[in-house]
Amino acid sequence: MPGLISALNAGETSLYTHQKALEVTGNNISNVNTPGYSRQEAILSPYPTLNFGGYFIGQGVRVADIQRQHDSFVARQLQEKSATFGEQDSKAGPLAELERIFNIGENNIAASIDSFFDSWQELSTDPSNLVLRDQVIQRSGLLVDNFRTTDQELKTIQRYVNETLDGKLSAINTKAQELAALNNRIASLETSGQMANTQRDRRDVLVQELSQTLGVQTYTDNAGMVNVTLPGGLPLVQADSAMTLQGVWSGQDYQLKLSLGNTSIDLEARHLGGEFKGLMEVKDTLIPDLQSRLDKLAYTLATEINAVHSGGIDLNNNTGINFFTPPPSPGPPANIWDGAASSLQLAVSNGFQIAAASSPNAPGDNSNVLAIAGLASQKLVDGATTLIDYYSSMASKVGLESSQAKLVRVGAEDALVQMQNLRESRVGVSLEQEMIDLIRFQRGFEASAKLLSTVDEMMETLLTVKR
Amino acid sequence: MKATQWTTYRSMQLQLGTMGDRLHELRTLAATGKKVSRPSDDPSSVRPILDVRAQVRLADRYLETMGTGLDRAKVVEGHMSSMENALVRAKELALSAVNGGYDPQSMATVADQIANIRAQLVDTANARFDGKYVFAGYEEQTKPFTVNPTYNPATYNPANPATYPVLYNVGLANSQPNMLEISPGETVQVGLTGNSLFLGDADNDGVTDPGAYDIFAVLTQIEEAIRADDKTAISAKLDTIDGAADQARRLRSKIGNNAARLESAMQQMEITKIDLKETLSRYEDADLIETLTDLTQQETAFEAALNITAKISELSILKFI
Repeated sequence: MPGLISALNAGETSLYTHQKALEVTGNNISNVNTPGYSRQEAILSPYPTLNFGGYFIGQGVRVADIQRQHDSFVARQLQEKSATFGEQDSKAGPLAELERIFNIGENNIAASIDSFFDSWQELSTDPSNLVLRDQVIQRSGLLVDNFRTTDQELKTIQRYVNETLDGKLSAINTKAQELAALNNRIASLETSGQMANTQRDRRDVLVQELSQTLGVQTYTDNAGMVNVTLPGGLPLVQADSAMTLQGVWSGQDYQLKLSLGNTSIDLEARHLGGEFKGLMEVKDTLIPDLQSRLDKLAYTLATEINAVHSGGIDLNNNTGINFFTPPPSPGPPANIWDGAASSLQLAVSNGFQIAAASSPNAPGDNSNVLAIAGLASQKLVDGATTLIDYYSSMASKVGLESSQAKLVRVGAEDALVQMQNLRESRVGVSLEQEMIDLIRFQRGFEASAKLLSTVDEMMETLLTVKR
Repeated sequence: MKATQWTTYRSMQLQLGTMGDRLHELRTLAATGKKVSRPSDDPSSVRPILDVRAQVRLADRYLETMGTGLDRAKVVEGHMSSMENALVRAKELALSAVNGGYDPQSMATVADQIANIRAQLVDTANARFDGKYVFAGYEEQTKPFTVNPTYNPATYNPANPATYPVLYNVGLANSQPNMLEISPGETVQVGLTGNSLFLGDADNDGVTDPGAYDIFAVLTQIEEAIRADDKTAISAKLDTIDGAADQARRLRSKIGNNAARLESAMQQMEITKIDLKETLSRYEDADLIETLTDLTQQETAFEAALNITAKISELSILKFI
């Protein structure tokens, strides 16, 4: 009888255990589409055996643990690939905008410079013609507008990047706080011997998201808490406390700061990774460079045209007339050409003021017009490039940046997907696997029930021995 | 290794995304016919494209300028041909005055005819085109020649312009021929200044050059000789008419040569323009046959990928248990 009772007991444990295992499988199936979910597995182990009349007899089965599958290599790789992908992906938007501005179609600064010089060339055939003179003024006006619009658009992109950064801040801070809270919860759960599987999954997801936005690096301390640092080494989450990212606007400018309790540190592109690095590079390196080149182009155009124009004589016999308002020319440390594009302006207001001639009372004199038209093919910028070529170099720079970002982005996305697939193959939920487990545990459950009914029959038989 | 549902769908999604992108690119390529429509399509050809495009525009402009130049040269030539005819007529009249045995009455008539020819030449010298004086150099609004009201044959002095029978009103500094730019840095003269043509002052110093002729003075002196019935003086002056006609012919051939040069330069520029357009096309135009073939290929591949994606759900363990 004691043997039957213990068999009954073993059957009972098996029934419970298979039920539990089925539950775990069911949970896996439910979470088949949950991002970041790691497959869980019920670890079955036999109850300790009992010595019974010189034999060791098993006492059934129990669920020793519910384990979450994990692969730290894959997790770390995913983190890295997310950071690279984030960096390149974030550049795509602003770079596409820049490509639109520095296009190679018929509506860019190069085309306006062309048509500007073309109007001078045409004026040279009939220098006293007021219609042609007005045409020069109109085309110059368009050129000035084009410079100003381009300058404005560069600033708009910069503001758009700043707003994008600002918009991401609150989500990042929330994530950092959630991560710190999870650190705390996991540590306290796991010291009491439980496995905080769901919390760990969530924490991994947060780390990966932070990698994509900030390119963060992580290390796990002895208490199982994940510490998150920015690529430059500044801490973002330390154990169960999170630092805060802040953005400070001053006019159009935007400064990112990391608040470390009492102090705060200014963040530059080199402190960051992921999407933030990509955006900061565009905003702090590429756009200022383009802006400076645009200013230099405007400055060179204005000063060179003025130099020739002021040497000529207009229809009213005046000389020394500037064609463009002289650019502001700030002193060091600013470059002399800074701000030239946005302040470019026509100084002449009507066709009579165009200094076409080199000598007075000579309406038919086209020599100064020819001198100005000739500037188009002269290497004016730094004595090395023509105005059009200088614009080309700006457009090719944007093109290079953009094509490179596209190339790296495609590669990074590929690598990220590969890594995500690798993660799936290691720790993901496969429906086939779960279905087979389902069958397996169902059969186990059925067999346990069979065992119970068999034992029951045996006890019945035993009880009917005496009637 | 196992392939989960996520793996399969994620991979298909990426594949379809990439293929869709490529398809879009090829469609844009086929629709625009341009293989470079953004700087990132080929950063290295941005500079040649913008450069060549500027050169094509410039070639168009030069062609138009040369057209204008040819028109101007033709106008000048037209005036010079009438001037030559006038000088030939003057020579005939002078010859007939020497050899004709005319009575004084007829001589006066011949002198009047010479005076008419001179007046006609003054009109030619003051000819206007498009509202501007053709022979006034840069001072195109100044009437270049006026008859000298204080002219006196006795005080006529070739070294003093103020004593000339017809005065030149254009400032010497502005007495420059019309120059047009027909290719970068290359200019061509399409006009003549009145003083070089009519006064023989090619070096622009205000007085008739040695060996050149003040055509108005020549005609005035012939007229005076005929009116005075001085056959010796007329004979002596006959050569100067020839010289004056030669001076006009020489300058006319110069303008003619320049016109011919313009015409050949125009042909040359047309060829250059075609070459430039070919270069531009090589840089920015797509090979349409290749593009369309690629497009068809990509569409087929995309269709196949869509087909596969749709079939993924058909194959499931759930159907078998």
